Amino acid sequence: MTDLFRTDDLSFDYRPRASRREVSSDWTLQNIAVSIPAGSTVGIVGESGSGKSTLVRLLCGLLAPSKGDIVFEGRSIKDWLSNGQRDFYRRNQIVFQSPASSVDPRLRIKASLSEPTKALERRKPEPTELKNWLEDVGLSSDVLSRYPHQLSGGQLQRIAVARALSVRPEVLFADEPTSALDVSVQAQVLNLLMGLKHRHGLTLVLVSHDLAVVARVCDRILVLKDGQVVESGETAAVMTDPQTAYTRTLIEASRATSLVKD
Amino acid sequence: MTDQTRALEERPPDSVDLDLWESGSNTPSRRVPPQLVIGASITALFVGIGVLSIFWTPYDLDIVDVPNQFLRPGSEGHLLGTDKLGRDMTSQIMAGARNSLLVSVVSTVASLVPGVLIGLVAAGASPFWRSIIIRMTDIGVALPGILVALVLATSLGPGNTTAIIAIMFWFIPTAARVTMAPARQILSRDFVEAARAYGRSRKFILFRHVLPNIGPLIIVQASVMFAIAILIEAALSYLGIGAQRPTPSWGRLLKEAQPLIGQAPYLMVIPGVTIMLAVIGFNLLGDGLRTYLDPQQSAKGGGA
Amino acid sequence: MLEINDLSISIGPHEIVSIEHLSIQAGQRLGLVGESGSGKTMTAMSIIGLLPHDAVVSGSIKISGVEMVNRSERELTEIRGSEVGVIFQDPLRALNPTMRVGKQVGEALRLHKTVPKKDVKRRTVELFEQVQLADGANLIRRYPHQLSGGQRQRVLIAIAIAADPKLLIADEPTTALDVTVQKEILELLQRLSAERGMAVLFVSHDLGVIQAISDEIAVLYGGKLVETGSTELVIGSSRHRYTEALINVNPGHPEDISASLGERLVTIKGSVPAQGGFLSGCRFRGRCPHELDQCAAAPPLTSVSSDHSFRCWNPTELTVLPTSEVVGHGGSDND
Repeated sequence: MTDLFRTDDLSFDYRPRASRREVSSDWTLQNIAVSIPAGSTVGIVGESGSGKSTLVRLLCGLLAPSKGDIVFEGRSIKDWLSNGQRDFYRRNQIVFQSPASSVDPRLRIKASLSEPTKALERRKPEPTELKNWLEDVGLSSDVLSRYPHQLSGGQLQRIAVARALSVRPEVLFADEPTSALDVSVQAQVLNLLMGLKHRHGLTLVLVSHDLAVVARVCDRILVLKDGQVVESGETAAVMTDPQTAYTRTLIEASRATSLVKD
Repeated sequence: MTDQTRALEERPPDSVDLDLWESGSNTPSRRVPPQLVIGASITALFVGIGVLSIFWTPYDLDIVDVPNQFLRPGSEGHLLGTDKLGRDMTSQIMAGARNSLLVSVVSTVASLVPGVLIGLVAAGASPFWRSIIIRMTDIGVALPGILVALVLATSLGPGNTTAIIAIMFWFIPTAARVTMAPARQILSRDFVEAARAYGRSRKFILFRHVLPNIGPLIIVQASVMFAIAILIEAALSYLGIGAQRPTPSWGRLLKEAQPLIGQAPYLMVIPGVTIMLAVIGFNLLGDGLRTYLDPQQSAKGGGA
Repeated sequence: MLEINDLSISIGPHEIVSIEHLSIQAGQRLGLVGESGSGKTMTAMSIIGLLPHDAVVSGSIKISGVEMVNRSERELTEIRGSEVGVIFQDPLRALNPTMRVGKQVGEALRLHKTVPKKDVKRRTVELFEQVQLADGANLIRRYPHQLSGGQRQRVLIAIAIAADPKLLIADEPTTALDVTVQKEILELLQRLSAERGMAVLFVSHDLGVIQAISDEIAVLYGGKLVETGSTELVIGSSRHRYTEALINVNPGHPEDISASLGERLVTIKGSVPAQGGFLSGCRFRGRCPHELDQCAAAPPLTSVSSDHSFRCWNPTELTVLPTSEVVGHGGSDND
């Protein structure tokens, strides 16, 4: 399996002029070396302050590395973003945690849904395309004329997914896509993501704080703590036989607060 | 980042579920707040009077009619009385409306355009440039407007233009500051990041995503600025650096009425009350607009 | 010590909450579980009268035999904090950002327990120790934003228990916290409850967390109680179809990761209707995979035992244990 993404000693800090400073332990991300194989579903887990959201934003091109590099399909991300930016964004899309915050409240759904096509393909999508995108996520065309405040969290999240997939990306990043949703809606959205992954051959990168979800959805797992990768590997292996104390603590705490169904 | 978005977004639970339930629009029609009605009425009244005064006033403004001086309000032919030279108060008040509106509209609009622009740019800029802009607006806001006006008056001479420029000196940084905070809040929302994720430029995001979302706020701010401009114009005219005769002005009426307060108090009360009404009207309009345009109004769901 | 009878909370034309009976014994921990729109927070807040202005409450809520419904604001303020303590989901919002945390706890001590001024600092540090905040002497001088999420929540707990309340209402206190901190806070609450004989009403949408901390569970849907009972019974042998669905929908840690990887998760059809969108009879109608025509009428209360009851026309059948051949012993009633 080829690696779609590879990071080379990637470090990042939000404070200004980080590229001119030394990497230190209070940086948001330090010396990250990970790879994402094509077609995999990777779960990035960690607690608050672990840098997981930052890592995902670096990978999908929303932030620039302070030090080190990210390689996508053999090319450095700096190269992609300076010439080939549209192409890169077309192939890497992202879904965020808060469904209500993901869409412009002043735009009707039709406009929001059409945005990526207009921006990356320089054209307006056809009505049939819009209909197909919505059907793909289990919604009818009725939502097109609505405003975000008229829809539920679950519906908005589906629209965010439809919007992200409208430009047919190869990789879909999802930053805690279900954390703001009820458990029953979470199950719907996760099923949706898994189904779409199979249907479109996506590579899925899922950030989550919920180990139970990651265990069921991801085949590979990356554990982050305070900006560093603590452990990584196949989900089954890491979850049943964690190699580090931190991972063990995390799994134990997650089990203690998860539902035990006899 | 996650905590922030969570805190910003307390969504009501499922409102319309199109998949399952055949409910029609679930959004209750927005109630028009009383302040808006009253404010809009008063404002419309003044605007109407001001516009009317261009074409018609009960008496010509220049007509001096000394034998009929100091007529009390309610006297025949003079609804609001006459002043020390027999000039009709009603006409002067009407014309004053025209002047006040002119000054306030011009100064507000001329300040909002650069002010909002600066605010938007600052919101999207790096922290370094943003802090520079904030410092500059600090200075602008701290400058005592009246002093600025006096200084300007010495070089440019008194008049409406001076008043407008003086007001702008204070309005532009205020508009910038008022725009910056909500603009930054919008910029932190996920849909802005999503827009970047499909390659939208910063300029596009600022003008096509941020600006429309703070639009209502700016409209509200504009109505408040109108009210303040009216007050400042009146104050400057009172000091003698605003509009000079024959240009009508409420503030100047106040000034002229001051030495006569014992003899004819109504000469002071009438312009004073007029100014007060106009300012209240614009303030209510702004307040009403803010309540009406608040998105929370239309989407109040129940708690869990 | 808490008795709720025929509680009805309405806002405008909609009845948001309608509970016939709910009670908590002294020292007991009851988990109130429901999704958004279930009315769980409103139920909890009605106990101390913290409801929106336009909410209309009828029925009876008794704390230690004293009626709480429609009390005056002044009487309620006395009871809040002294008899009943409350902790909320977001400690950052519940704490005063401009006041040092020690002072905020001290305020609670002075207000309800009328602790003399000279003892306040010592008692505050003691309280900090009880909520496992190490280095209390230093921490009392910090401001909320200088503490971590877990520490802030502990401060909130300290404020809530300062006056030794008999009941602690916890509204989603762990939802915004990291999972390792969640575990600690839950253990802390359990310990405090046991040590002080303090009853806990734990409100959450997270069934896993509820299972971890509660002795008893009450499941709310659409403002009505669908099932109540001991934690083991409600989760282990749930009867109401919504309870069953809620359990199925919760991912939980899989037994065999490789086998379950990528498997579709169980879902509940549709979503919670908005107020006024519920059908007559059982509120779960329209989403229940085991619906019958009968469900158009309100289901009656069925008590399996003194510690397990539910309202469902077509409840889950009890699985008969292979080793048990016992007949007629509180076994399955699948009518």
